[in-house]
Amino acid sequence: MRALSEDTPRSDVALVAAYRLGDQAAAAELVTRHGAALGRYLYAAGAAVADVEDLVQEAFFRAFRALDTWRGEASFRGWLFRIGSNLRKDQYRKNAGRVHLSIQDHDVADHSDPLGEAGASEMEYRLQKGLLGLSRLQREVFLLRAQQGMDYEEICRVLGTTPGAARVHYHHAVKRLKELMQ
Amino acid sequence: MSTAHIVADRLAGSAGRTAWSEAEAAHLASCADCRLELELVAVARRLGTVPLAGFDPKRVATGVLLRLATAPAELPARAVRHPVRWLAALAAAAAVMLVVSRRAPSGPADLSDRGHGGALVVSVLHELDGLSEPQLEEMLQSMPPAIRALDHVEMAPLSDLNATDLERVLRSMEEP
Repeated sequence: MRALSEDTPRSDVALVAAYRLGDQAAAAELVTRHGAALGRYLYAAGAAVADVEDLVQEAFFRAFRALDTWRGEASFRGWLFRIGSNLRKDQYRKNAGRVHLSIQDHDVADHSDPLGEAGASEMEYRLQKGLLGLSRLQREVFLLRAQQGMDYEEICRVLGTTPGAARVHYHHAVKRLKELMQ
Repeated sequence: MSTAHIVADRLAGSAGRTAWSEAEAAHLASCADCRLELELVAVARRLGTVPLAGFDPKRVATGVLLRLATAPAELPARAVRHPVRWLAALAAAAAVMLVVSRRAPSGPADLSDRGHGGALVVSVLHELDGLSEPQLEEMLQSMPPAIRALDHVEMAPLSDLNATDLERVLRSMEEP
């Protein structure tokens, strides 16, 4: 049997176990591994770009503090996204349902771009704008499914809903987004 | 499930990274609606990979580790949810011990020594400080039968204590 290479990335479960034994680098690796994706998800879900880093930090802080309650039934990523989603939900309620649409550099059409990136950016902008017109659950189900590639079971664990409800939210989200994209 | 449904389901799950079967490919070629959905999912997936401006995972990791190192220890979840209940349990336990020490002339020596009743209560209260909520509850559960076994001892709520005794209880609880 071939031994695992030292370069083989450790699984999330192994990193969590290492952190619980005091390995701070394992925690940092989990943040590096999932932080950016969680940030993109929260941003696309309507968080202000200036708030994203704080939300991500808070989500990881709470996750690490509550590791005793994580039984490993859900993936660490799904569990982390659940915490992040709840933080976003609290923020959404505090802001009375306001969501942010900010255009970053990469979202702005560059008319000198010969490779068609401008078209892609235009699509991204339209999608982001379209997402803001969805209900919170439609938006989050769509993002978890389409952007993060989660299956419905995992989406249910993140959002605390049922597979049937998640499918319905996804279907309605896609239908509305298609109308906006055409 | 129709080919259209299969394609739609796989679109989101794989964002088109999985090879399509002949039937699926044929469906995609002929269905503008599915192609639009494929494009939608691809754009969403791309948005999920573009680095977020100003977002630095290393800075986040540093911040998280710093907070974990400096944050005070977390109370048990049940204690956080029921702080009033926890305090009430402690106060009730203290009151019961005080009543036992005042009203048990013929009880066991350690409880009936009226001359040391106050010291006993303070000592017991300090012991209570070190108990967890489950331990406190277990103790409370175990107390009524023990107290009933003593002659001339009655249970009394905090409201039955006079001002001096009540103040002693409260002062004892506040002392480190």
